[in-house]
Amino acid sequence: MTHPLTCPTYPVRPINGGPFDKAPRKTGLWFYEPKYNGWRALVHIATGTMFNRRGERLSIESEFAQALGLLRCTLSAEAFEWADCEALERRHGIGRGTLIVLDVIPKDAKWTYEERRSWITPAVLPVLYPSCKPHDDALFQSARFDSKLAADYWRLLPTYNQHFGCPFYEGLVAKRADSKYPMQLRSPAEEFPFWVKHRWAF
Amino acid sequence: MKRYNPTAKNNDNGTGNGAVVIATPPVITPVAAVGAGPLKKLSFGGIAKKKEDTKTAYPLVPDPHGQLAEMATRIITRTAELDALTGALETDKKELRCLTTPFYFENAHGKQDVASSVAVSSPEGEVLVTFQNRYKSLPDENSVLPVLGDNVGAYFRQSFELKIEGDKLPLDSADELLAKLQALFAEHNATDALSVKECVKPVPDFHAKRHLVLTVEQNLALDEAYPIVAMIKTKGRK
Repeated sequence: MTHPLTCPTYPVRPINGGPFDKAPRKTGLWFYEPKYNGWRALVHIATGTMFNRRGERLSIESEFAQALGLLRCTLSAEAFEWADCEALERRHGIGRGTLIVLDVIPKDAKWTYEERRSWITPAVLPVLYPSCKPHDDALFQSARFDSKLAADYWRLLPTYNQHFGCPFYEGLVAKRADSKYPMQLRSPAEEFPFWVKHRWAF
Repeated sequence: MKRYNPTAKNNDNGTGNGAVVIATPPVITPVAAVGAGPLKKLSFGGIAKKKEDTKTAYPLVPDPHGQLAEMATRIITRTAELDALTGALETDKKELRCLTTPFYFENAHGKQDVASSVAVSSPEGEVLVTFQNRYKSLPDENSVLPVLGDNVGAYFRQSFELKIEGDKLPLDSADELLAKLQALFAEHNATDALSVKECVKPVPDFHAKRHLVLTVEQNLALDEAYPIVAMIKTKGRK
């Protein structure tokens, strides 16, 4: 008897850190990524099955067929098993059917954010640089920058939104370098304090 | 098909980072590019496009002296500051909890009466990290199985909720009672009206038992999969 595929964890839900320019300085090593305006999705790499942030199967999987195909032939399902992605669709006209890989979830939960992200080099997955508008049905990894550049991007991203003509970016997400991916199926609402979102509209 | 696997040793393609590019990287369209379609269009570059206002317009309170606007500004600013501070505080609390957990389990190991808190002293006063005898429920036992193995039944029990309170059913006759209940609903073609919410909960003496029986390492591993509810207290500890 085969069991239906279920996701091993809910995707990490960052805590609300308020506007970046009001936030106290963070201790330890943190990296920053743009916060994209899309749907959070966990992708089972071997099968291309997508789940939403509540752990439910996504009904719009077929709209990402091309990006899923790229993902499946780029990352080893054996090593990574799951990819934590932002799925671009419907909310705005940019990058329809495109997936942005935010993180990978290997079987062994001992790896830190910095280690996990260092595996997906730009040679493996192209980086979606913030000034670039993604085209449809593509696959990228999220841009990542250190805390020195975070303030600059906090100011710059709204200007890119103006160029794009839509709220493609919502702010920044800070991720602590030594944090492990919190595997939990207790609640999709459970927040993880080592990922912090800073949004312009709060 | 060969795919990128960071743990495999034969990935290296000469880049030295073990990366193997299989997929063709998608082309990135620069911001300023203008579509080369059949219709010739002007590019408005950085000028923001006018969007339909989707916000509901409500009646505006008259504010001739700008007093209300000042208050509204203050509220918006302080809400933003509060959010930023709350987020930073949450991160600090989580880190303190992570760093004090090993000491808590070491200190509690083998004890019948376990201190509910550990104290952290600072020039500003004392902060307590309180590990309460409080646990959330789990959807199933899978996450704690790697730590407890066959002993999982000694620490966790199934809990369920129909419209009746499952916890209060006598254990020895629960199966029979539920079978009868299902048969009764089936007899009346009302099986769909019966729904069950299942979960796994710790046994009543779980908190005491974990400190007495499990090792510090097991407790730490268990805490990763099934965290004890912890609180950080500062009130009255100056």
